[in-house]
Amino acid sequence: MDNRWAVSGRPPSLPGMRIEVAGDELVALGESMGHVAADLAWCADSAASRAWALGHGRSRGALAGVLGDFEHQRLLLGRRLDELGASLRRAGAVYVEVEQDAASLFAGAGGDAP
Amino acid sequence: MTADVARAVQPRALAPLPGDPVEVRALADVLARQGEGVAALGRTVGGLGDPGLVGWSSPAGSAFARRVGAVPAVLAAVANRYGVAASALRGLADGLAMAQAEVAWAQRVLAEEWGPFLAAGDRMALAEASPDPTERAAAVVHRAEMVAHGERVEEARRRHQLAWDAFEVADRRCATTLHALLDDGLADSAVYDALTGVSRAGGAVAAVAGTLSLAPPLKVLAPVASAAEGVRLAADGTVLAAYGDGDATDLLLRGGAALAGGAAPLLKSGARATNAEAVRAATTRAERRAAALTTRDRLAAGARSRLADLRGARGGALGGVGGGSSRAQTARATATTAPAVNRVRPRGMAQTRAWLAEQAQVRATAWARRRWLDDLDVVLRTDGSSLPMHVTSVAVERTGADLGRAASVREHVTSGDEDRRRHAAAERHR
Repeated sequence: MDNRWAVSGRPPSLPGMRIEVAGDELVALGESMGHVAADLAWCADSAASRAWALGHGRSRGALAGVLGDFEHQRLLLGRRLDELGASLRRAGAVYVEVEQDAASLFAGAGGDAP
Repeated sequence: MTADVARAVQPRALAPLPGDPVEVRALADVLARQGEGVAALGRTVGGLGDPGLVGWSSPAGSAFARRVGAVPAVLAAVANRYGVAASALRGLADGLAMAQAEVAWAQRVLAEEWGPFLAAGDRMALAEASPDPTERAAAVVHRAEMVAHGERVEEARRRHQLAWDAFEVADRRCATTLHALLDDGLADSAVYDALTGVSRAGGAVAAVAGTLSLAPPLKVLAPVASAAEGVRLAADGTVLAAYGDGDATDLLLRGGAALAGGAAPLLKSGARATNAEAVRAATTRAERRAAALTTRDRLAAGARSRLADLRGARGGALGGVGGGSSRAQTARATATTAPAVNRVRPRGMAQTRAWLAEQAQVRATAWARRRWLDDLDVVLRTDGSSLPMHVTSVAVERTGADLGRAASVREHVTSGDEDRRRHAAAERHR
């Protein structure tokens, strides 16, 4: 007898038996990852085109540096996120497929039940 | 201060304060939204990769966690940049709005008070100069009016200056905050900035010099364009090798085109190099073989010829038939055998169609002759020249042109993709 069960009044969780994966959310996350680099580049362009609004002070140049002076990190981040996003999209699609196959198995079994 | 002196030393208008706080707030909102989105993504990715937080407890989850690496930290740093920048810009927008309101008030007061101030001053001067004692007594009243208006003018000037000072303080505070963000480890290194800067400058010089060199009087700029393109390629290659940024295919296409573009004329000149006289003077087969030009000799001769060409030298640097003289022969051949162009103006649709076909054929023949056949003719007729090297030069030239075209097409496609991505990003932020 498991003493922990006796104390808590609940059965112990079995390792490997908790399956909770939202495949479509993984796909959506992968999609949003692919947009980050383009969004950051667009943001830098948008800020550059609106920089006149800051007036003729020092902030204008400083803002250009903040949004533009990490080109390498932005490209690197874009590449890493593209890779991760592509993997997540594939993984999500596989999970969705497996889930549908498994669900169809149980749906068939339910039809035979008395 | 009298009115005349005031007219002379004080401008009638106060400088406006440039900028638009509404637009700055809109920009801050965009940055804040972007920062929040990036931060949320960083938390999700970090949590997904951390079994203790979300619990993707499977071999796939563990593999994902290993691949995520430093991505969440970089996303958090980017989000921090955008969030802090948005906050700093909002502060600047507030300062700008207040300063502009003060400047606008000062401008309005100056516009209202300046005229009456001058008029009162003029009246006072007239009254003081008047022989009439009653008029002279009124000068005091005019002076009081002038002083009252002058005080309002001075107040406007003072508040205008204070508004500018207040904006400068707000601007300095914002710039200091923004500059501090550059120490977050995301900033590009000086070497990276230098390399990308050199690449951009090289590309710009190559484009301008290359375009200008198409005009015959500016042909001397062609080597400048080649050198600038070489510098750009070297910088791009270094960035790609050291940082992994850039497009390897594009670099290879452009590098191949540049290499072929430089090698083809060298090979062509080398193919025409000859020392037929020395070969003919040799008595034995071994001597003839020793006297004949090797590939290395031809390449060296080609290089000398190219240098001479670039210096504008007309004479051949080669023994026998050199670059300059061979071109002279080519030019003569073209001049004597060029097909005649029918310059009689056609009448009617049928004649025009026939005339156009004839023009196209004649011009294509002339172009092919000038480009291929005359050179081939010179090589075939020149004793001791190298037909294989000439054929190689033609193939290299063709390859270079094709690579250049491929690079242009790829650049066009890539920039189209980039535009679409930017457009999609703009749509997402709308």
